[in-house]
Amino acid sequence: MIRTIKPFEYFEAKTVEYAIKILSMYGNKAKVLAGGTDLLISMRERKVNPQYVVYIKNVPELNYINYRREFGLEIGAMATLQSITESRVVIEKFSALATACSKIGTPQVRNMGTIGGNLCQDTKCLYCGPILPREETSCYRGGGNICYAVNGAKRCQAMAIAETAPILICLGAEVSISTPIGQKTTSLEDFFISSGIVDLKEDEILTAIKVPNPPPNTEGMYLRHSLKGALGFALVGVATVLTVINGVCKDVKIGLLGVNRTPIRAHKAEQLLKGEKINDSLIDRAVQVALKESHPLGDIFGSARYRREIVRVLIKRVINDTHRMLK
Amino acid sequence: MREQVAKFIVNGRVYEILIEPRMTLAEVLREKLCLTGTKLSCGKGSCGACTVLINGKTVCSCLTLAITAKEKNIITIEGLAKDTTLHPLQKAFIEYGAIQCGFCTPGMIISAKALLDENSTPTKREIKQALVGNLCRCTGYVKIVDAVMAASEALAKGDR
Amino acid sequence: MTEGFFVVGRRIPSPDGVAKATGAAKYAADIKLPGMLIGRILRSPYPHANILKIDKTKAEKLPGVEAIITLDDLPRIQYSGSFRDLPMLRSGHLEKPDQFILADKARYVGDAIAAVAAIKEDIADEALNLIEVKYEKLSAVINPEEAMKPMAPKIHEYAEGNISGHSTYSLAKGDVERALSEADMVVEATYKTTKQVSAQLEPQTVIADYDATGRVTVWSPCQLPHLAKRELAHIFNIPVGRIRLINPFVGGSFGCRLSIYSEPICIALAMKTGKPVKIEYNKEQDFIGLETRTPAKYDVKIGFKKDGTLLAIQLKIISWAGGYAGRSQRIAYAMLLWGLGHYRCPNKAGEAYNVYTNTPMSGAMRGFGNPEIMWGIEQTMDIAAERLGIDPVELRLRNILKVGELSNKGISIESIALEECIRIGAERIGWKEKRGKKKEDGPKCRGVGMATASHTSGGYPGLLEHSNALIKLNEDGSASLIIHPGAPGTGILGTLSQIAAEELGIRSEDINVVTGDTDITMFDLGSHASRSTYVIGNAVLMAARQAKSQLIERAAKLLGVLPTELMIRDRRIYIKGNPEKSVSVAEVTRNAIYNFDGECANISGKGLWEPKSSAPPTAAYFAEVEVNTETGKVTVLKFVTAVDSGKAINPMMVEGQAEGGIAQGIGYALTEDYVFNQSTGVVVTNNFDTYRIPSIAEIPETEIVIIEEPEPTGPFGAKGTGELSAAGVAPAIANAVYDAVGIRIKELPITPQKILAALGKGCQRQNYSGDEKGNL
Repeated sequence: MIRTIKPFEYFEAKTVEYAIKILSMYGNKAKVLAGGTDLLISMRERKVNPQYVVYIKNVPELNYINYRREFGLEIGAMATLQSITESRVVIEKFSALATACSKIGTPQVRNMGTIGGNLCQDTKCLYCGPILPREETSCYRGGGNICYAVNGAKRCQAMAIAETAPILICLGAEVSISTPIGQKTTSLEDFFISSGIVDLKEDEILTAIKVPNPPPNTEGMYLRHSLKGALGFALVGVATVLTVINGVCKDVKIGLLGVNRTPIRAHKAEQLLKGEKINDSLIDRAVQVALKESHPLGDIFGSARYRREIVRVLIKRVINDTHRMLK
Repeated sequence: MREQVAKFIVNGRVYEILIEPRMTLAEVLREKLCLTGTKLSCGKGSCGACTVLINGKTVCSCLTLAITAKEKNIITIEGLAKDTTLHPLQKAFIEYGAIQCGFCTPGMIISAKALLDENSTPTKREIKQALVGNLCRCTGYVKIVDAVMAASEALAKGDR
Repeated sequence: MTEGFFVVGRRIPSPDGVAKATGAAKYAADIKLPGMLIGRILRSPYPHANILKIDKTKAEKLPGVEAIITLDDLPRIQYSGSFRDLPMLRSGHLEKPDQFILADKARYVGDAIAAVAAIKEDIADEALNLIEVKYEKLSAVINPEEAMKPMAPKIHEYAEGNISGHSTYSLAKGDVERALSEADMVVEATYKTTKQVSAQLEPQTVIADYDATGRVTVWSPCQLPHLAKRELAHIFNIPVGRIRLINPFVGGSFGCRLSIYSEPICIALAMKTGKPVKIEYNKEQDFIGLETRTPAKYDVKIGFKKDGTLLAIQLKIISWAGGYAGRSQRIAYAMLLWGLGHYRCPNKAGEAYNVYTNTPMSGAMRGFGNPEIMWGIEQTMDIAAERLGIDPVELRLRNILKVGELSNKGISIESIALEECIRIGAERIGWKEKRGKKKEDGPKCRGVGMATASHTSGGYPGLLEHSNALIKLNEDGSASLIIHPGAPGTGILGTLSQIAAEELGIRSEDINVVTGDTDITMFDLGSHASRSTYVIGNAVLMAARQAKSQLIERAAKLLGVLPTELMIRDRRIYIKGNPEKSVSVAEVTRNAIYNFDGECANISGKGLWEPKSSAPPTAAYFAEVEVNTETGKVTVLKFVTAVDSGKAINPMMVEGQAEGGIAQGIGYALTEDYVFNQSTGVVVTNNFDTYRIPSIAEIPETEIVIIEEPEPTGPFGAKGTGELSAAGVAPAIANAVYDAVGIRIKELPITPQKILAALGKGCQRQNYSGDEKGNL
C-alpha cells in the first residue's frame, strides 16, 4: 500500500446544487468527499482514483439533526456520527440509532465520519487489498480473477458494513437524494441494491435521512458482535423495532447486517411474529426462519456456522430485551 | 486548482502555506511545518497515532485532507506545553510511567486532552472509551489510565 | 527497601519522558537530511518463484528516479539479517546464512526483489510500477507439514526436506523413554502456537548515508547495533570502523528489531546515488517484512509420580522458519531450554526441527520461545493436576526449582522467589474462593487459572555476553553515562541512570545518558535476552565504582583524611561520623580538571562486565476470565503477575514491563491471529484493522506484585524481567477458560468460534469456505 494520494482537482461545495453541478460535469471521474475515513483510504490504496473531488462536509444545508413531533426525525447526510451519538433528541426518541452510531470505529472516526458517508460507503472485504501492484494478481475487485478472502469464491465477496443501516431500515427510514433534475425520495431498504452498495448515480448526492415517529408502545434495539474486541468491524449487526400491545406483537421489524451482501430485513421471521403473543418458543421459531433468510459467508473472521450462531443469539436477545422493555 | 496557499491556525499561530489538495493534514504538519510530534502508523484510522484536535475534536490527521482543515483551530502535541511548563497531562504521563517507546504518546495525550476539556472528572470507564482509538503496544495501558486520572485531579486543583 | 538505597528502588520517571511527551523526540521518520532521497522496495507477489528477468529501462527513464538496483548490481554475499553467521555462540557453531541483499529467488509474498531511490515518494512508487519482472512461478508450501513432505518444492538449495536446522536439547539427562514407562501417570498432548506479530506502532524506517570518505552512516532501529555494524561491513566488504550506526528514538520492537532488514538495501542505494536515502515501510510492509514470533506445533509428554512430582519430560517441536530462517532456528532451540528447564525433573530430552516455508520470516518476539512453549507446558501441568487430584498451585509448588539447583541454563541458581510469587499471586486473585466454583451468571461462566515461567537475564552461557560502559564526571557534579543498550523504548536508560547515580552518590537527574551512536559507544551487544539491567547494569556499576574511587581519593586529599573514612551521599562526600566536614562532588571534579598541582584529570570510570551466570527471573501468573457461552467471547476480568525480579531498580519500570506483557499475552491468547490465504501465500491480516492487538478497553483489572529476593550477581541485586512478563499469560488464560467452562483449547488463539464449537453449538454447516477455525 502506497502512502501518498494521487493528485486531483479539488472543489469545496457550499451548496448541494454546486456539488451536483461538478458531479454532472465530470461523471465517473469525480467523487464526493465527506469525512474521508472511507474515500481517502481507498484513494491511498489506489482502489479509487478520482481526478476531481468535491468536498461536501461544509455544506450547511446538509448538516443538521431536526426533530418535529408531526414528521419525526430528519438528519442531514453530513451530520457526524458523534453528533448523532450525542444528540439528546436521538438518545431520547431513537436510542437504538444513537447506539448504532456509537459503535462505529473509534472516537476519531466518529468525529470525522458522517451518516451519509456511512450509508454510501463502498462494500468492504475484510481482506483489505493486496500489496501487489500488478493486475494479474489482483482480486476480483481490482479486475483480477481470484478472491483472497474466501477460497474458491466465484465472484467478489465484499459486503455492506454500514452499521447505521439495520436500525434505520427497521425504523422505516427514507432517504432524500438530490439529482440534477430535482429531489427524490426512496425507502432506505430499497436504496441498497443487490451488490451491497446504494443506488446512487454518479451525479446524485444523498442529502437527508428521514425517520418517522415510531408508534406508541414501540421500542428499538441494536446489537452488534465484533470478533476481535472493542474496535473490530461488526461481524454481525442485528436491529429490531418492536410494537407490543396487550402482550401481542402488533408489529416487528428485524434488520440484519453481515449475513448478506446488503443489509436485509428478515421479512418471513417478522410475519411469524406479527399478531402473536411473544414467548420463547415463538422467538426460537422466528429465529430459525430468519436464519433461513440469511446467507452469511465464511471468511477469516468468522465461519458461516459461527456467524449464524451469533445471529441466532442476537436476534433472540433483541426481541427478548425490547419485549421486556415494553412490559 | 492544483497548488494553492491556505491559512492554517496551528497551536495558536497562523501559517500561510502552499499546499496541494491531495496533501493530508499529517503531511502538512510534519513536512511543511516540521511539527513531527504527530506520528504516522497504520494509515487507516485504526491506531490513532496521528490524532490531532480540530476545533476541539479528535481526528485522524492522516485521513484528513489539509485543505479541509484550513482556518480551523488545530492543536498538536507541540501546542500543549507553554514554553517549558508542561501541561498536566504531559506531567502525569511522565510521572506515572505511562510512556515507554513514546510513539503512541502524542496521539494518546491529545485524545486525553479532548476528554478532559469536555469532561473534567471522568471515570475510568469514560477514560477508556475516550482513548479506545489510540493503540499502545508497550505499556498495557494501565499507567495511561492512572496518568489521565491524575491529570484530571491536578486540573481540578487548579494546576494551570 | 531497608538497605538504605538513595536512588535505586525509587519510581523515577525515565529521562527521555519530556522529549516523548512534547513531540520533540525524533524517530527515524522524523529525520530529514539535505538532499535525501526516498527509497522503495519492489516486493514479490508470489510465494515461490524464480526471477527470470528484471527490466528497469522504463523505470529508470522516469524523471526524478536516481537509482534502481537489483541483485545483479550488488555484492552477491550471503548473510543473515539476524546475525546467525557471526560467531556469537560459545559452542562455536555458525549457522548458514541464507539471504542476499535482494532476493535471488522469491521465497515469500513480499520478498524484496528490487529497490528504487527517487527524489519524491510518489515518483519512487510509480517507478516500482514500471519495473518489469518476469517470474517463473513455482509451487509453494505454506505450512511445515507440507514443506517436509518428500515431493515438496525445495525453498533453499542446501536444505533437504526444507529443514533449516535440527536441534537436540543439550542439557538432556537420564533415560526419558524408560522413565515415561515407569511413571505413575503420563500426560501427552499436542499444542499449536501462532505467528504473533510485534505490531509495534512505529513503522520500520532506515536512513543511510555514504560520504565522500567512504564512511557509511546508518540510522537504524536495530537493537544490536554493534553486531549490525559487523554484519553490514561483511556484506559490503568494508572495514567495520567505516560503518557508523545511529539509533534514533525507536517506537517499540519486542524482538523484531533484533535483526536488520532494509539496511543493506538502503546503504546500496546511498552508495549508488551518493545521497542519503530513507526507506520508510508502511504498516503493511511491517507485517510481512519484519520477523514475527515463531509459530510451532509440538508434542509434550510429561511423566508424573503419584505425588505430582515430575519424573520425565519430553518435547518434540516443529517450528516454522518462513522463507528465510531469521532467528527461528534459535527460537526452536530456546523452546527446549525454557520448556525442559523450568521444573525439577531427573529425565529430560527434546528435539526441534525448524522448517522453511514460503511465508514471511519468523524469528524472535518477547520471550524468545518462552511464551510459545509455556503455552503447552503449563496446560499439561493443569491436565495432570486434574487427573492426579492435586490443586494446580500445589502441583507447581512441588516441582519448582530452589536455590542451589541447576537453572534452565544448567547453572546453579543463586536466588529464586517463585514459591512466594505463587503464594501471593494465588491469594491476590482469590484462588481458594474462585477455583473450581464454575460461577455462572446467565450464559456467562467465570473461572481462574494460573501458570508459571522462568527466563534468563542475558544470553550466558550459550551466547557471547558482555557490555562496556563509560562514565565521565562533569564540573557541575553531573555525570555523562556512555552506554549502548540499543533500547527500543523500554525505560532502560532510566534504570541504568539510577544504578550509576546510586553508586556515584549523586541524583538520577544528574546523569546525562549518551547513547545511540556506535562511533561514541564502546562495544555492547545491545538489548536482547533481558540482559540490559543485569549485564549492562553491572558494567555501569563497574564504571561508577571506578569513578567513585577516584572521587574518594581526590576528596581524601582535599579533606586531609584517608579514603576509607569517606562516603558519598546526595552529591556530597562526607567524613563518616563527622558529616559537617564535606566537599561536593562538583568541587572535587572541578578541582581535578583545573588542577595546578600537576595532577590534572577528568574523573571517569570504565566498566566491563562479562557474566558467569544468567540469574533467571521467574514469575507466577493468575487470570480470572469470563466466558460467554452464547457468543464464545472470553473476557479477562483480572490478571495478577507476581514477579521474582531480584531488587527492582525502578519498580515503576518493572510494573510497566509486566503490564505490557499482560496486554501482549492477552492478544496472543485471544485475538492475534496471523492469517494466510493458503493457496496464494498472501497475508490477509496485514494492518491494525485486521490484526487486532488489545485496545485500552480490553485490559483487565491488573495487579503486579514485585517480590524482591536479591540476586547476588546482579547490580544491587537486580535481574532482568522484560521478557518474562509475557511468558505465562496465555496458558494462565487457557487454564482459566478450562476452569470456567471445561473446555481446553490447545491451539492458539482461543477464539469464540473454537469455544462455541467445543460447546457443540451452531446450526448446520453452510457450503462456503472457511472451516471451524475460519482458516482459508
